[in-house]
Amino acid sequence: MERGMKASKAFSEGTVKSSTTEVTIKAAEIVNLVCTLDLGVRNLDLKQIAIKARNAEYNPKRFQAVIMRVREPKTTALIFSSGKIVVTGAKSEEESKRAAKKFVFIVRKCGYDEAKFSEFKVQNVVGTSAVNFPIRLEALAQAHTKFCTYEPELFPGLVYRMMEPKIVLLIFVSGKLVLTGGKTRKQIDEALEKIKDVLVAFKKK
Amino acid sequence: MAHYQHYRASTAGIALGEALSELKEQNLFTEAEEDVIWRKFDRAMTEALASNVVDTHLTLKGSLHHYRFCDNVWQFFVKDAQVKFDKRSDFTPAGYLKVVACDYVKPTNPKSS
Repeated sequence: MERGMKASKAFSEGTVKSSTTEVTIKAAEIVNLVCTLDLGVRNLDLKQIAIKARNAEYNPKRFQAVIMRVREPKTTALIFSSGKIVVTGAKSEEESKRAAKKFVFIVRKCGYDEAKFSEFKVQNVVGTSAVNFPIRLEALAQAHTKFCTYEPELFPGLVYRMMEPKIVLLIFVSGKLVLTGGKTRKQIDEALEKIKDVLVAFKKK
Repeated sequence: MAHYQHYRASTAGIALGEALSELKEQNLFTEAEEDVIWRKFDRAMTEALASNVVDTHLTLKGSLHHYRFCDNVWQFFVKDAQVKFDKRSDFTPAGYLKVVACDYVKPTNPKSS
């Protein structure tokens, strides 16, 4: 929450003035964060966990993991028999860690006292943002061929693969943006900062 | 093909159980025969609920406290549940209402089973 507020402040300061109208870029809002961790326990009895824990789904015919949810923070975990856990749906790094600890606690309560919180790593951060003007995707794709894939017949958005930071951006005509592939929030903010001038350059008249 | 036995815990099932134990005390049938009756009951319940014989509609309102899905059975624990049967009657269970839902098993021909 605090981070988001800080970022929005930075954004209002970072408003770009163009010759005619003022263009604004919304500060990136983190919409999803995926992290992984290892319980350090092998051969978990997933069925036992599904029976003992609440909000658990286990259908080995469809997927070899227990799908478990917690309400606060609102996240979903995939618990594998190898002891590895994937936590998705968090809105910040802090939230994701808090959720991960909760899942470790639940597994411990299911009879695995030796389960520990280890090898926590954020694997992906997804953010959204927007500019207040439409964008000429066709021209942008032609100018930045090295980074862009734009197939309007397949997908209406332009895929921009930034090298540094290594972030993939989906840019839409409306000016809306999706930034994914980040490992930290900072990378998302950096990518947004870098793409800003490009977007202004390809603003639809 | 076996049918679910969970309808044995319903009001009709409990009543049948009482009647059977009464008759059994009078040694009117054997254990094996009792089993046959129960299996017929399981089948009859499945058929009746699938057919148009039972046309009561039930509405359930409440907040889902937690759920579970294991062995192809969904369990829903509903808090502050309100159950209404065709506006005719309703009841509010104390505590949690536990909903158990399984895949439908089509009633099979008794001759083939």
